[in-house]
Amino acid sequence: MQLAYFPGCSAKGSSLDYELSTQAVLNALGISLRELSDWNCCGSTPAHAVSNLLSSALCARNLDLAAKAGADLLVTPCPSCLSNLKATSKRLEDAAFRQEVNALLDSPCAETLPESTSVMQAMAELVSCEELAKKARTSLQGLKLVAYYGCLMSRPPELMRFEDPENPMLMERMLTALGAEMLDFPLKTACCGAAFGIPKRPLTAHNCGRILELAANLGADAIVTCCPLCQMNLDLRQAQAEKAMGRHFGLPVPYYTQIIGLALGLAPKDLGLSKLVVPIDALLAKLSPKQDSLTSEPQSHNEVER
Amino acid sequence: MRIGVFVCHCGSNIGGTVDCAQVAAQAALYPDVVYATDPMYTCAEPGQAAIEAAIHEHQLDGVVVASCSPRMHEPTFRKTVERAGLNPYMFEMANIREHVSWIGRDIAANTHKAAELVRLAVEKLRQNSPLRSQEFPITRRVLIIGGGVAGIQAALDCAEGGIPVVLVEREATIGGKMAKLDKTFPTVDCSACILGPKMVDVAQHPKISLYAHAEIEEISGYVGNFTVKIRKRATYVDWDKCTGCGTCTEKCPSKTSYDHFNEGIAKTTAITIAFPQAIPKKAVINKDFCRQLSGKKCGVCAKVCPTQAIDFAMEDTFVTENVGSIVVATGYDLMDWTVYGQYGHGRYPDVITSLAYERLMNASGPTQGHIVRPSDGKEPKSVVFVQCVGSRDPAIGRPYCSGFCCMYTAKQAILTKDHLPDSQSYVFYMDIRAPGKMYDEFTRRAQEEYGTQYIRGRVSQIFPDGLGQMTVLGMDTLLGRPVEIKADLVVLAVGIEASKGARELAEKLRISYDAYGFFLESHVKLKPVETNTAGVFLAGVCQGAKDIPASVAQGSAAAAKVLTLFAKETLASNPQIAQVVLKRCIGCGKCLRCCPYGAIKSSQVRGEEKAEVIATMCQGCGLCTATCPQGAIQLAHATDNQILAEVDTLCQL
Amino acid sequence: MPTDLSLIDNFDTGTKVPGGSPFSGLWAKICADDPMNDTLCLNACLHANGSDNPSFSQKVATLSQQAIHTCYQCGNCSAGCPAAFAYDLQVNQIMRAVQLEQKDLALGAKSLWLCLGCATCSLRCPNAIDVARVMDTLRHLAREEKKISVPVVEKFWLSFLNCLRAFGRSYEIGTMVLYMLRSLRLTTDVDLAPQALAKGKLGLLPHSHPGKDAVGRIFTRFAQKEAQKLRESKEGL
Repeated sequence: MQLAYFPGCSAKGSSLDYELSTQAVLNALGISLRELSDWNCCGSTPAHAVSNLLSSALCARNLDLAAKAGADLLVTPCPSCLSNLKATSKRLEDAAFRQEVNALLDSPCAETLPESTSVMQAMAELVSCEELAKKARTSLQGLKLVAYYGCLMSRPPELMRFEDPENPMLMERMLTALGAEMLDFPLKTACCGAAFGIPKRPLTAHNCGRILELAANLGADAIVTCCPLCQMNLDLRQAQAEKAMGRHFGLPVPYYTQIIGLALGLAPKDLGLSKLVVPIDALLAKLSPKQDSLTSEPQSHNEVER
Repeated sequence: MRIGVFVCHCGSNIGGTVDCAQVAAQAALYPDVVYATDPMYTCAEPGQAAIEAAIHEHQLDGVVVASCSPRMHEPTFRKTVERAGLNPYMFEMANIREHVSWIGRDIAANTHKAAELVRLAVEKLRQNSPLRSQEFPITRRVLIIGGGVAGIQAALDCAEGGIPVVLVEREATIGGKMAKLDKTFPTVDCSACILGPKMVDVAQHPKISLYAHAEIEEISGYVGNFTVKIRKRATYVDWDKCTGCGTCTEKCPSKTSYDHFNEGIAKTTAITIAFPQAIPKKAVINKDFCRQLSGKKCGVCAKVCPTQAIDFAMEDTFVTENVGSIVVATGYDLMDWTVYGQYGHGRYPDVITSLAYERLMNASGPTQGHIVRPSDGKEPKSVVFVQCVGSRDPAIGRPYCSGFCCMYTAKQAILTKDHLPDSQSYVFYMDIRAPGKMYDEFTRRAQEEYGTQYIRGRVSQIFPDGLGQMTVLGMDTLLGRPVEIKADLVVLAVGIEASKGARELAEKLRISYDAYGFFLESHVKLKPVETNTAGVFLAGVCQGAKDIPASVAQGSAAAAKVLTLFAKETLASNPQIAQVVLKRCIGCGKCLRCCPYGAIKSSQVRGEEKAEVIATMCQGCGLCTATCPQGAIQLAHATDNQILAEVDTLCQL
Repeated sequence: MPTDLSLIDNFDTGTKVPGGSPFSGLWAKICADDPMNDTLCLNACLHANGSDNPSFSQKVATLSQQAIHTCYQCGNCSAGCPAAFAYDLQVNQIMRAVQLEQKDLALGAKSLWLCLGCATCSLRCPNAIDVARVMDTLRHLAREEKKISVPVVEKFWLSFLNCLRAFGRSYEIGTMVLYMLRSLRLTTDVDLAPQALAKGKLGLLPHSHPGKDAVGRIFTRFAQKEAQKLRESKEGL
C-alpha cells in the first residue's frame, strides 16, 4: 500500500508543533510518509459553507495529485482536512457532480482516487498498542489525561467510520498502553467552537470553557488533542475561555503525538513542546524512565521502510 | 347443475371501480349459471336473505359470491347456503375487492378481470361435491405460557371455569414484571399487595399445575388436541424437599451473583429465592456463580439445608402434557438501552432504568425502599426522568410507543416526592400519553401537587460533571431554549421489546409475529386475542404494549375464548382434508414422513400396505398431496380436477 | 427622551391616512420600527405554491436529500447543539419553519450563520435526519437570496477564501487583515497576536507553492459559474 502525506495548512502555521511531533513520532516508529507535492488547501469550513462544489473542487485537486503520485491512501493529521477529503470522495460517486467538479479543474481528475485516512488511524493500523508499548522508554504512569477528539474525527459517522461515534477510544488505547491513566471524558466529541473564535468569540469561549471545566473537574493533568483547530481554541484561547467561565484552568493541551513522542523518549524540542501556550512543565516533571527500557538497546530509527 | 352468481358492490368499495351489473350479466352466460345479480351489500342481512330466496326460487344447487376476501366472509356465506338447505361446500367465492377493485382504477380492465375471476369460481363450483365434517373429542385442559399478571388472570379464570390449567413460567417465580413494581398507577396502591393474593391463589388452586423455571420445548397437534413437551430447567434444588426456609441463601459464600429480580441494582447470592412472596417459594442455584458448580470446593448450601434438598447433579428434565388450547402471555423485556452512547452506554452507575428504580423504591428491594444513588448510597435531591428512551426512535429501529411509560414516570415522580420531600423531579417528555380512566388527572397531579417539572423535549446527552452530579443536556421546545440540569440520579423510561425468545416460541406455536417480535392477533379490531392458529390465544404485552388493567382484561378475554371453545364436548373437523385413493397408493410411506401433524398412518388393506388419513388430525395443508409420487392423495375441496378445471378455463379465456 | 421626540416628530410629519385618525400615522410608524408578527395564516403559506412549483420545503428536502417531514419536534437537535445558546431560532424551530413553508423565517435566521457544523444534531436525531446537512442547504439558499443575517461570519469566510484564491493555501495573517478590513473590527484577536507570534504560530509570509495558480483558476471558474447561474435565474424571472 502506497501512502501519501497531506499535512494541511495549519501544519505550516498554527500547528507547527503538531507537524513536528507527528514527523518525529512516525520517524521513531519507522513509518515514512512522503508529502504530497504541490498540495493546496482543502478549503476548510468556509469553502463548504459557501458551496459544496467549491469545497470538492479544491479537495479533488489534492486527491488527483495523490492518484497521479501512485498513492492508494492519502493520510492527513488534520480532522478538518480529512472530513473535506472524505466528503469529496463521497460526493464524487455522483457522476453529475463529478462532471461539475471536473469543469472547475484544469483537467478532469483521475477515475480512481485514493481513499483518505487520519495519521492516527494509519499509525494504529501499522503499529499495534503492544508494539508501541514495547518501543516506549519513558513511562506515562502517574499522568491523568483526557482524550479530546472534537467533532470531525467521528462525525458524520457513516462518512468518517471512526470508532464508536459517541465514545471513540483510540487515543485512550494508545496512551493507556504507554502507562497513562485515561479518564472517562464525556465531552470528548463535543464541539470546541471551530473557527468562530474570530468572528464570534463568545461561542468558542463558551464551548471551550465547558470542555476545559469538565477536564479540570475530573482532575486531568492535560487534554490530549488530535485537531489543530481544537488545540488552538483550547490552548491559545484558554484565557478567553477562563474569562467566560470565571475560573482559572491552566490546563496544558498537547497533541497526542507530543505525548506519544515523550513516551518514546524523544526530545521536547523535537516535539515542539515549547510552542504550547499553556506550559506543560508540571506534566513533564511527573515522567519517569520506564524500568525495563533502561537496559534495552537504543531505538534504531527507520526500521521499516514503507 | 343450477348455479346462482351474486356480484357484490360492497357500497363503492367494489362498485366504484368495477361495473358489477356488467359482471353479473356476463356471468349469466356461463355454463350452468341460471341466475346472476349484483346486490349492494351481499353480507348484510337482506343480502343473505336474497341468496336464500334465490336458492329456493331458482332451485339452485350451487352459489358463487363475488365480493371480498374469503378470509372474513366465506364462513358467513357457507352458513347462508346451509340455511337454505345446500351443503356449505357447494359454494365458491371470487375475491374481486382485494384482488381487483382496491388495486386498480381502470373500470374496464377491472370489470374484465372480475368477470374472469367469477368464471373460474363457476368452473370450480361445477366440480364441487358435498363434504361433511366429523366430530372429534377434545382435551379440555389449557396450557398457559407465562405467569405474569395476564397469564395469572387467564389461569385463574380458566381454573374457576372448571378447566384444568398447566401454567409454565420461565423464571423461578410467577408474578412477571408486576411483581417487581413498587406501586401502581393511577391509584398508587402497592403492587405486591394486589398481585400477591392472586399469586397465592395460583399456588393453591387444585386445578392449576405450575411449572416454574421451565420452558416450552416442543408443541405438536392442533386445536382440541395439542401435545406439549416442557423442559424443566435444572434448579439444583429438589423442590419437593425445599421448604423455602432461606437458610441456604443466608450462608452462601458467593455473594456477587447478578440479581435479575432486582434489575442488577444490588448483588445477590448464587443460591436465591427471588423475593419473600415468591410463588413457588423455592431456592434456585445460579450455576454461573455457584462455587461448587464452577468446580471449586464449596457445598455450603448442601451442608446447611435442613431437608437435604440440594442436588448438584441435577439435570434438565422433560414432561409432556396434553391440552386442547393454549394461551400465550409471555410479556416483554426492556430493550437494551446501552446502545445509547450519549447516555453513557450503561457505564454511569447513577443512570438507571425505570424498572431498577422500582426496585430501589420497593420496601422488599435491596435498599428496603430507601431511594439512594447506586454510586455512593446518598439520597438524591435532584432526579431527572427521561421518557421515550428506546421508544418512538426510528433511528434505532424502534418507532413504536411503549404505551405505559408516561404513566409510570408520573407515578415515580410522585413517589420520589413522597420518599424524599426535599427532592425536585424533572421529566423530559415528547407527548404525555394518558388516555385511560383517571390517567390524565394523575399526570396533572404529578405536576400540580407534587411540583414535578415537566419539560417538553428530548435529552441529548447525560454525563458526570466531575463534581459528583450528572449533567443532563436537554431542550425545552416550548420555551425554545436548550436547558441543562444537574441531577443526582437519572431514571430512563426504557422502551419495551418482545420477550426474549418470543420469535422462537411463535415458530413452535405456528403463530405470526410483527417486525418487532410482538405476536399478531387474528384481526386488529375484531379478533384481538385470537391468533391465526385455531385454539391459540394471546394475553398481555406479548401482543403489544399495554398496562396492567389492559393486560388483566386481555387475560380474562383469552380465558373466555378458552371456555367458549371447551363449552362443547367435541369439535367438528374440517372436511377439507386429504383422502387416499387406495387403487393408486403403493404404500411407499413418503406421506407419513412429510406430514407435520402425524395425521397419516400405515394400514393393511387386503394384505397390502396403504396410507390412511386420520381424519380428525389432518389439517388440510396439502403437503402429502404434493409429495405423493403416485398422485394417490387428493385434498378434498382442492382436488386435482378442481384445480385443473380453473386452470383450463383461465387458459381458454 | 430621544425616542419620544422622534415619535412626536413623526406624529407631526407622519403620513396622514385620509379620513383616518391622527394616530394612524404614529401607529404605522411604531409597527414599521418594530414589526409585529401577524398570526400566521397557514392555509395561505401551505398552499401559496401552485402544484407545478416545488414548495420551499420540497426544495430544501431535495437539495439536502433529507426527509424533513419526518421531524416530530422532539428537540434533540437543539438539546445537543453547542451553539444553541447563541441562536435566535433553535434548530428544531428552523426545521418547523421549513415544514410550514416559512422561507423568510428560515433563511433569515441568524442561527444559520452561527451553526458550527459539528453535526451533533444529525448524530442524535431519532428520525435519522442529517440536520447539519439541512442547515448547510439553508445557508447556501440564504446566500443565493443574499440574506446574510450575520455578516461578520460571512466576511470571515470570504476573507479566508480570498487568501486561498491568492495563495493556494490558507494564510492566517492575510485572512485576519482582510477580515479586519471587511468587518471594520480592527482589534480582532490582537490580544492573542503577541503570544501566537512569540510561539511562531503565525506565518508572517504566505507559503508559496507552484499549485497556487491552479487553485486561482478553480476559483475563477467557480465565480464564472456562479455569475452564470445568477444571470440564468434573473432571465428565468
